[in-house]
Amino acid sequence: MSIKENYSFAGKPVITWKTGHPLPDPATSAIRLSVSEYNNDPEFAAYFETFLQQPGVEQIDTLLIGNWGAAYERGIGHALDPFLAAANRFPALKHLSLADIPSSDSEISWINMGDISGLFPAFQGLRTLHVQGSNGLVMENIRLPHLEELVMVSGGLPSRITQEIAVAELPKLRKLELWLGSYNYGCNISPEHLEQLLDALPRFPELKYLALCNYEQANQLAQLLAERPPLQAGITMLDLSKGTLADHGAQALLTQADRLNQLELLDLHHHYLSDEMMATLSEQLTCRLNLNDQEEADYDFDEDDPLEDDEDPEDYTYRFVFLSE
Amino acid sequence: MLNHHEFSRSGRATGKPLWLLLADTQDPRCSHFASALSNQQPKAELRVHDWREASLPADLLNHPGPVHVRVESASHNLEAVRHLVALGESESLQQGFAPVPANTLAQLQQGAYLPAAGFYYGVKQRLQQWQQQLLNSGVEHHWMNSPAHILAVSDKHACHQTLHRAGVAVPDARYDIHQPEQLWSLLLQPGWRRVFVKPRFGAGGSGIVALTHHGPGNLHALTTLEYDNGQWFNCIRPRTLKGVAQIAPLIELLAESGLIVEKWIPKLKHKQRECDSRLLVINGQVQLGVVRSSSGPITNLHLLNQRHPIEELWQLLPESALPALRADMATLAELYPHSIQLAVDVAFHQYQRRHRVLEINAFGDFLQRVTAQGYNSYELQLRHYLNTLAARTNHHD
Repeated sequence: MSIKENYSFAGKPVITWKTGHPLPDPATSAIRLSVSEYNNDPEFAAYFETFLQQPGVEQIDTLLIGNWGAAYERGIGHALDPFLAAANRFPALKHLSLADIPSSDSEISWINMGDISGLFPAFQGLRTLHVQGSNGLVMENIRLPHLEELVMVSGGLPSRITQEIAVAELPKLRKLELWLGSYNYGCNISPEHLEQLLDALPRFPELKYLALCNYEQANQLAQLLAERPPLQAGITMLDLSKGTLADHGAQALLTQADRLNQLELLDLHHHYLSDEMMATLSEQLTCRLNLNDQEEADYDFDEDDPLEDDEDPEDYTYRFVFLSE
Repeated sequence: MLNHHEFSRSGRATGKPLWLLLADTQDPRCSHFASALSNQQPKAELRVHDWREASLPADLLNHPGPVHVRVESASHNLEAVRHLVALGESESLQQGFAPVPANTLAQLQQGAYLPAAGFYYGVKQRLQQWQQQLLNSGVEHHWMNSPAHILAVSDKHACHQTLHRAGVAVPDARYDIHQPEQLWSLLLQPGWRRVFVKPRFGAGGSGIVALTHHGPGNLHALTTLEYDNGQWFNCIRPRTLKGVAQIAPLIELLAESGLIVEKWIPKLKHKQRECDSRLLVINGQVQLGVVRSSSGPITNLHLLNQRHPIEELWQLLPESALPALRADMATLAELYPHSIQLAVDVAFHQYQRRHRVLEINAFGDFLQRVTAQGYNSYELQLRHYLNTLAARTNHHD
C-alpha cells in the first residue's frame, strides 16, 4: 500500500509510493519516493526504474525524494543520478523536495547529500525547491527562471551555499528560507558571508518572505541588520525564529522599528528574550509578532564560580537553536 | 572439590591458594580485587607485584603451586608508565613509531597526551618477562587474564582485524592511514564522511577524534585533546577544532604512534543523548554492563558523561537486536578463550538498531556500582574462574 503521510507539500497531501502499487493521482497528490533498508525494499535505482514505468508519471508536478537507502551514510547521488537521467520524463515538474527523510531514518545532520547542481539545467520549470540536510551539499550555478520558493533546512548551512545563493539567478523568488544552524553541524558562515547574502537580496525583486532562522549567531545577525540600510520594501515577512535571539539582539532590532513596522509578520519564535524585552517588543512593534517558545539559556557561572571582571558573561552563556542534533 | 583437584593434579599439598596480582599497589583495583577474593576464596593469599619490578620474587617461583595470576592496568601509576615507556622504547622505534618526547613524559601529571606505542611495547616486554620466569620455574600457574589476550586487544589494529575476520559486527576501519592527506582523501570516499580516529594503542578515550567532513573546505573535529604551549593535553570536555590547519597537527601527532580510522556509527539515542555501552562478558555472556550517554559522540564515563542501568539499553532495542549481540559475545569468548572476562564497548546504530563492537578493553572490567545477583565485576569473574578451574590445563596460552 502506498502510504499517506500526515503532511503536505506545495499544497498537496504527501503520498509515498510503494512498488507494486498504482501511481497516486498526480493532480491531487504530492508523490514521495522513498525506500528503506529494513522493509525488504528494493534498492532505490530499481525502485525508481519501476516507478518510471507507471502510467501518469509525465503528469507529476509535485515530487518528493525521500530516503534513497542508508541516507546517513550514502550520498543523494543514489537517488539523484537516476532521477536526472530520467529528467525528460518529468516535463510538468514544478515542486520538488529533496531528502524528505524522517529523523527515524536519518537525522538531518546525518543526511548525506552531495552535488545537486545538475537539477538546475534539468528542471528549469521548478517553482518550489526544498532541500533538507547540508552534509556534503554542493549547489552551483543556480539558475531557475521560475523559482518562487527556496527552502534550505539543515543543522548548519555552509558558506559555500550562501555564496552561491548570493549570485543565483532567481528572478521570481518570493520566499527564501535558510536554516543557518550551528557550527557543529556545518555552518561556517562569517559576518562577511551574511553581508554578501544581504547585499544580494535586491537580485530577488519579488522577494516577500525572508527567513534567516535556526541560527546560532542570531544576535550577531540582528546587530548586522541594525547596522545596515533597511531591508528592501518588498519584504513583508521576516523570520528570525528558532535561533538564539536574546535581549541584546532584540535591542539591536528595535533600532529598525520603523522598518519592522512595515512588515506583516516578524517571526521570532524560539528565542531567549526576557519577559521585559518581550513586553517592550510588543509595545514598540505594531506588526504581527510571533514570540512563542521562550527558551532559557544555560549559564556556566554562578555565585559559587563568579566571573572575573574582565570576563564577558556572554562567553559563558549557552543558547541552542531549534534544530541541533 | 576444588582442593581435591589441586591436590590430584599437582600431587602436592598446596596450603593456601596463592594469588599473584601484577598491578600497581596503589591502584584501587587492587583493594577491590582483594576484597572480592576474600569473599569468594577466603583462604586465599594475595600478593601484589609492581609493574616496575622485572623479577618475580624467588619464593613465589619456588612455590609448590598452583599460583593464580591476574594482571591489572599499569596506567594508574605515572612512574610505572614512564618505566614501561622506557622499557618499550627500542621495540617501538624498531616498529617505526616516534619516540616519546621527554617533555611529554615530564608533563604526564598535568595530563599530557602520551603517544602509547612505547608504553604498549613496554607492557608487552614486562608481561613476557614475567611469563618466562613462571614457565622457567616450573611452578603450576594459571592466568586469569593472559598476556596474549591483554596484548591482542590493546592493539586496535589486531583486535579489529581479529573481530572482522571472525564475522563480528564492527565498524568498517582502515589501518593504512599515516598522514593527514591520506585521511582527507578517505573522507571523500562514499560512506567515510564521518570517522572516528583513535590511537592504535590508546585507552581511556585519550586522543580520540570524531571528524566530520561537512563538505569542501569544511572540516570539523571533536577531540579529547587540547593544545597548549607546545603540548597536547587530555581534556575532560571534548574540544572543537576547525579546518585543516587546526586538525592536521593532531592527526600527525596521532599517526606518529599509530592510528586506526573507523566509520563513525550514529549512536543510539538515550533520552536525546548519544549512548553506547560497556559490557562485561564472562563465558561468552553479558554479565554486567552500563549505558554511557553524552551530549556528543564521545561517551567515556570519566569525561563527565552519564551512566545508566544497562536494562535501559535493552528497552530501546527491538527484540531482534539481542540474539545477534549474544551471538557476537559468544564469538568473542571463542576468539579470546584464555581470558576470564572481556570488557567490550558496544554501540547500537541509531537507525539500524543493530550493534557494533567498538573495542575490547584489556582493563575495562573495573565496573563500579553495578552488580548481578549481588556480585560485583570481580566477584563474578572469580566465581566463574574458580568454578572452571578444574578444566584448566597448566599455564595455558
